[in-house]
Amino acid sequence: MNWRFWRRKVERYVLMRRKEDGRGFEKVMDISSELADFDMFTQSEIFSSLTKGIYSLVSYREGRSGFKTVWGPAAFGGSQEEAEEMVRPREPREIDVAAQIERALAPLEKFKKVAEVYDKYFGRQAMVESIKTMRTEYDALGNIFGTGSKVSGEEAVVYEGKLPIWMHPKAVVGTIDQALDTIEKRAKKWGIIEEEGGPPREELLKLPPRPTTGTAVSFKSEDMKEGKEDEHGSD
Amino acid sequence: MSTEATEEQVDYAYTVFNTVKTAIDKATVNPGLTVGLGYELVQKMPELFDAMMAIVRPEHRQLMFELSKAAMKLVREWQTKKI
Repeated sequence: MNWRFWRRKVERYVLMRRKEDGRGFEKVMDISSELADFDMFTQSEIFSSLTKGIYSLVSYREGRSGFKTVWGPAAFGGSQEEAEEMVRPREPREIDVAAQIERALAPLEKFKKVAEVYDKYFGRQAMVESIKTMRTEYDALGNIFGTGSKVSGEEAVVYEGKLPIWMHPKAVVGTIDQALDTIEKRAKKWGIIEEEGGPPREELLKLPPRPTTGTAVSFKSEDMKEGKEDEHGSD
Repeated sequence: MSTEATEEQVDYAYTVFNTVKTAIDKATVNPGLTVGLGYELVQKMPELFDAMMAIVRPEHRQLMFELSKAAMKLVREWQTKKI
């Protein structure tokens, strides 16, 4: 990865929000001054967690010079390569996630301006809670990234929080049953299962050869066919 | 009867598996998505099955079918015990 390239991109990040009349964006804060030390991946993690999907990365054309990337209230507008690069798991030597999150959480005052925007939707408490949850999850993931010492890797990672109703185990069982039914239908389509009432296979139409009881019997029957039966009858 | 998959079906299969790979990558770096990913995989199992059928040789499809069914039944059993 070209580290300088990413750093240069990071310096152009600005927290934007859509204007009230819906035309264009207005600048809220310059992220580069607050989080210049972090790479794009960490920033996206921090802000996606903070803003609960209200803000996301947006790239748009700026004059003739090229594209500008901002945090705006819209879907991710970057290229497919950028999106894949964002979700690519980093090597431990590339990024020390646990340490960077610790550093990000330490000076919470730096997020004051973000909080002003965030309070309108969720309140300050929700933001603090989301930060705490994020830190817990990253602590648990420390071992996966090879940076943490808090999780040995032997015990299962526990995630706290309430599940939405559609994720209730009962709903999952129903979904599995539906999926099983669908799979069986598709198996019929692929010819793995015979369809009920469908045309039978050719092998089943061919009857197996009749069993013979012995050569003597067959000789006798042939004799009878040749007309020797009459001779016996005459005797 | 089982026949060879068409080129379109193989393309479809590769699209499905690439999407699954991206989703797994996302869940790796966003642990909050893990449960959602599991649910999505269960929900999209028929599509995954179709994709598997497309790239597997016809003589091995029966095995993959049995395997998919067994895996689904195992997950179902786990979920039932959870309830």
